[in-house]
Amino acid sequence: MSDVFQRLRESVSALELAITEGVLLEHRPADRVLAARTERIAREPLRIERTPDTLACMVFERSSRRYAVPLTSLSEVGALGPVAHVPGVPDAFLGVAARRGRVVSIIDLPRLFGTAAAAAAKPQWLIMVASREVVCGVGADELHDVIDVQRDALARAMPTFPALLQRHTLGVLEDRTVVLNLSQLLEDRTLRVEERHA
Amino acid sequence: MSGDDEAFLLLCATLREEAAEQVERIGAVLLEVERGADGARARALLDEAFRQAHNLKGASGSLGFALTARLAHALETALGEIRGLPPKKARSLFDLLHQGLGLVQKTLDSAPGQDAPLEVTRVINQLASSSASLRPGRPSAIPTVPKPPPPAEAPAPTEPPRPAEPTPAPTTPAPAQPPVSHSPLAHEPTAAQHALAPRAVPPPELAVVEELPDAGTILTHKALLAPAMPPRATEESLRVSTKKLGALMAQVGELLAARLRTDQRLSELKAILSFEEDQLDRRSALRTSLHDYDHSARDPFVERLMQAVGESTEGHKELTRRLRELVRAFEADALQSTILSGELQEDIRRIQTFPLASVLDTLPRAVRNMAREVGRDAELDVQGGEIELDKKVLEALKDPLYHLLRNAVDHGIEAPNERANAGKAPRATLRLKAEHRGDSIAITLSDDGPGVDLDAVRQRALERGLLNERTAPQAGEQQLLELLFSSGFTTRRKVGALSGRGVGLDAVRANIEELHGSISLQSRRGHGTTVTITLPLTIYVVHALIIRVGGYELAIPISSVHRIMRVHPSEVLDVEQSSAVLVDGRPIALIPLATLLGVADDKKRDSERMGVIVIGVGEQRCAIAVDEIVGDQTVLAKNLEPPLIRIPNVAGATIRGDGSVLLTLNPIDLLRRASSLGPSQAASMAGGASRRPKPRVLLVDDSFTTRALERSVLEAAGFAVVAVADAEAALVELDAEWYDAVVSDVSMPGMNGFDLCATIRKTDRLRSLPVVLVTSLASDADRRRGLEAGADAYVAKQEFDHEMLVAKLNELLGRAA
Repeated sequence: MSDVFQRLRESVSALELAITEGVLLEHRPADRVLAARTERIAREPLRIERTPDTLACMVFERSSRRYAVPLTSLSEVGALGPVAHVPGVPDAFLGVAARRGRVVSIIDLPRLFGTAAAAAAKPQWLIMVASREVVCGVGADELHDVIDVQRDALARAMPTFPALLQRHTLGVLEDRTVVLNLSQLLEDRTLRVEERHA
Repeated sequence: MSGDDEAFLLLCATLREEAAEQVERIGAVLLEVERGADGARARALLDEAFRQAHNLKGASGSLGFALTARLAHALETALGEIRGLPPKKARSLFDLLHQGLGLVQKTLDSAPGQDAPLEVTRVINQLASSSASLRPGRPSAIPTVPKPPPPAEAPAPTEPPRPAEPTPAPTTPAPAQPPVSHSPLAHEPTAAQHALAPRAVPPPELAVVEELPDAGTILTHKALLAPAMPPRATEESLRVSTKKLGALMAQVGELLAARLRTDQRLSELKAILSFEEDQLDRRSALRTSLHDYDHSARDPFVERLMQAVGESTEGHKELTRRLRELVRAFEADALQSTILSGELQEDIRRIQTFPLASVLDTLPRAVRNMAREVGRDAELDVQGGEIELDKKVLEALKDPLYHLLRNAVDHGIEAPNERANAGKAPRATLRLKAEHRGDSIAITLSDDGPGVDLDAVRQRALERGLLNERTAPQAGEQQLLELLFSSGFTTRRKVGALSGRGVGLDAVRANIEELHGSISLQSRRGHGTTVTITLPLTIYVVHALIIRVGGYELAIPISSVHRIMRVHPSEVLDVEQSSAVLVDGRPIALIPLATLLGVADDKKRDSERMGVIVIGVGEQRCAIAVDEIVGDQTVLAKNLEPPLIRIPNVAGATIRGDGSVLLTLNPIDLLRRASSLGPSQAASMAGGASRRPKPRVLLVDDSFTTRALERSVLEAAGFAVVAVADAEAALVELDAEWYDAVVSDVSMPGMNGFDLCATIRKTDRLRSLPVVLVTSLASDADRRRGLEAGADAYVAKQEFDHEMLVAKLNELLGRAA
C-alpha cells in the first residue's frame, strides 16, 4: 500500500513540475487529462449571494400600458430600427430586426397578453432581453425612469390577468405598473413558434 | 453541481471525444490491413493502431473507466499479436477487434459500480483467448479486475469513478508478463520487406507495470511511451465551441453591415466633393469674368471684390483639394476594409468547414460490421471525401448516412449465396460518391442489389391505405418510390436487426431538409438502388434571388430556382381548375407566392406580364407568381433566434447593409404548401378561368377593309384582336407578344401567308400556334398548299362566313362557342 502512495506522490510531483515548467504532456494523455482537470478544479469557491430587498427596474410604456422589468434581465436598450414582418407568425410578433449581428424577434407585450385589441403604431424603442435560451426584443413607445422597487411593496398578480401574464408577473405597483419577469416570460414554451407542415 | 464535478464531467466528455477518434482511427487501420495492405505498410498501420489503443487505455484508466481500460488493453494485446500475422490467419481476430471497438463508447457510458455488460466481458475474454492462442504457452495479459466497492454516496448513473478518490489498487499485482516476443515468422521480415521498411519499428518491450485506479494492474510497453511512428508534424490546435464561432460569424456579419454603411458615407462625401468642385468652377468663372472687366473702369469696390473673390476661390481650392485627398484616402480605406472583412468572413467560414472524409471515412468499417451482423458480405467504396462542407452539415449528415447504409445492407443487397445464384460477386459493393453540382453537392449512395420491389411497395401501400384499388395499379415508379419516404412505411414484415421498423426514410428526409437539402430515390430491378442527397455547399452563404410580394421583400435560394420568366396572363393555362404555365412544353402549376405565404395579394395581373419563378426540389416543380423580381445577391444566411424556431416557408434571414432584415424562403416548404392547396384555391390564385382575359388573335391582312371586317367579327365573338398589314410585321409582333391564334391573308406584299405559316411552324416557340388562312385563293391546289405550309384551317373569302371563322377558331383554341 505504501508503494502505491509513494508512486502517487511521485506522479503528483511530476505533474506539478510539468505544470509549473509548462512541459507539454501531449504524449501522456493521462497526465494531460489530470493536468487539465487540476487547472479546472482550482478556482475560487462560489459566493452565496443574498436576495436584495429592492429590485432595480426600468419602466416603459407600450400601447398605454406600463411595464417594469428588472435591469438584470436587460441586455440593451435603444432605438428600434427597421423591422421585417414575418408571414405566418402570431400577431404578437411585430417582426424581426438585426441586433449585434443576430436576427431577433420583436414582441408586442400588450398583444402577447391579449390586452390590446387593435394594432398599435410601430414602437420607437427596443428593449433587448437575453436569457439562457432566448435573445429577443420587446417594443416600447416610451422609456421612463429606472426605479428601485421594494419587493414587499409589490401587489400580487391579479387573478383576472391572462394566464401568461399571471405566470410571469413579479407584482403590480400602485401606479398600475406591472413588474414582469421578462427573461422568464420570453423563455415560456408557449411563446415558441415551431410549426411544421403536416 | 460543484465546480470540481463540472470539471470532471468536462474531462469525461473530452475523453469520450478522444476515444471516438481513437476508435475510428483503429477501425480504419484494421480495414485497410484487412483489405490487403502490404507487409511494411500493414505493420506501420498496426503499430499506429496499437499506440492508439494504448493511449485509450491510459486515458480511460486515469479517469477511472476501468472497463474501458480493460477493453482497450485487450484490444492492444490483440493488435500486438496480429502485427506479424497474414490477414487471412488473423481474420477471426479482426472480427473481434471490430466488435471490441464498437463497445468502447458503451463502456465509457457505464456507471462505475455497475457490472460489466455481458457482451463487453465476452468480447474481452474472447480477445484475450484469441490473442493467447496466437502465442502458445503464454498466459493472457488481461488483468483481473476486482469489482470496485460500492461508493459511499451513489453517484449519478452515468458518472464514472473519480480519480481523486481512487479505489485502493489490488494489493497483489497481476503476475508480471514476460516481454512479448513475436513469432519468428512474424518478426523476420523478408529481404523485400527490409528494403521496403528499413525503419520498421522493433517489437515493443514490456517494461513498466502501472497500477490504475479500479483497473487493477495493466501492463504497458516502454517502447510505446515514445511514438512508434515517426512523429507527425502537428500544428498547435485549440478546440473551440461552434457556438463561439457562430457568435464570431455574427459579429463579422455586423462588420460587413458597418462596412456597407461606410460605402454609403463615402458616396455622401463624394457628393459633397462634387458640389464643392462645382462651386469652385463657378467661382473661377466669376473670377475670370472680373479679370476680363475693363481695367480702366475698375473702381476700388471692384478691386476689393476681385481680391475677395480671389481669396475665396483660393480657399475653396484648398478645401476641394483636401476634400479630394480625404475621399481618396477614404476610398483606399474602404477598399482595404472590404478586402479584410471579406477575408475574415471567408476564413471564419472555412474554419467551420471540414472535408466530407471526416464523416465518410468512418463508414466503410460501419458497413463491414453491419453486413456481418446480418449475414451479408459488403464493402463500401467512398469517393469525394475531399469535398468540404460546413461542420454543422457534416454533423447532421452522419445519422442519415448511417440510416441509408443500414437500409442498403439489410435489404438493399442480397446474401452471398443469393448473389452467387444471380451471377453476382458474393461481396456486394456499395458506392458512396460526393461531387460538386454548382452551388450544391450531390451525395449518391448506390448498391448492386436487386432494386426496390415495386410490387411489394404497391401491395404494402394498399394495405396501409396510401393507395386504393383504383390508384394502386396506376401508380408509377416514381410515385411508388416516393411512398418509401412515408412515415412508418416498410415493406418488411419482420423487424430486423438493422431496419424494418418503418422509422427510416421519412426521418432521413426530415434531417436532410433541415439542412436545406433534398433526397430522392431511383431503382432498377435487378441492378440496384441509388439514393441521391443534394445539399447546399454552405449554409452560411447563400446566393439568393430577391423578390417582392404583398409588401414583403424576400430572398429565395437560387439553387432551387429552375427558371425565371415573365408571363402574360393570356399564357396562363387552366388545367382541371388549376392555373399552370408551360415550361419546356410541360404545364407546371402556377400559384401566387402571396397565397403560399398567406399574405394579402392585391396585385392585378390582368394585363401586364407577371414575374414567375419556377422552383423545384428533386422531381417536384412549381411556378410561383411574384409582384417583382428585384435581382440577385449573395447573402450571409442566419437563423432566426428563439422563440421563432421554425416558421413555415421561412428558412432564415440575412442582414442587409442598411441594417434591415431580409427573410429567406424555404423552397421545400413552399412546394409542400403548394401540394396541399385544393384546386379551387389554386384556380382563384392565378386569376383562374373566370378572370382569364380574352384569347388574343393576331390578324394579318394587307387590306384595310378586310382587317376592319374580320376585326369586328372576331371582337364580337370575344377575341382580343391585334391587326397588322403584312407578314413581316406579324413576325415582329409574334416575337414580342404572346398570341393564341393567327388569322392571316395569303396574298400580301412581301412574305405571303403560306411563307408566314411555314415560318411559324419552324419556330420552336410558335410551332403549335393555331394558324387560319383566310384567302381568295380558293382552288384545291391552293388549299392543299396552305395545309402543307402548316395551316390549321383554310377559309376561302368567297365562301367567307364569319360564323365559320369563329367556330373554327373556337375549335382550335378548345373554347366553348
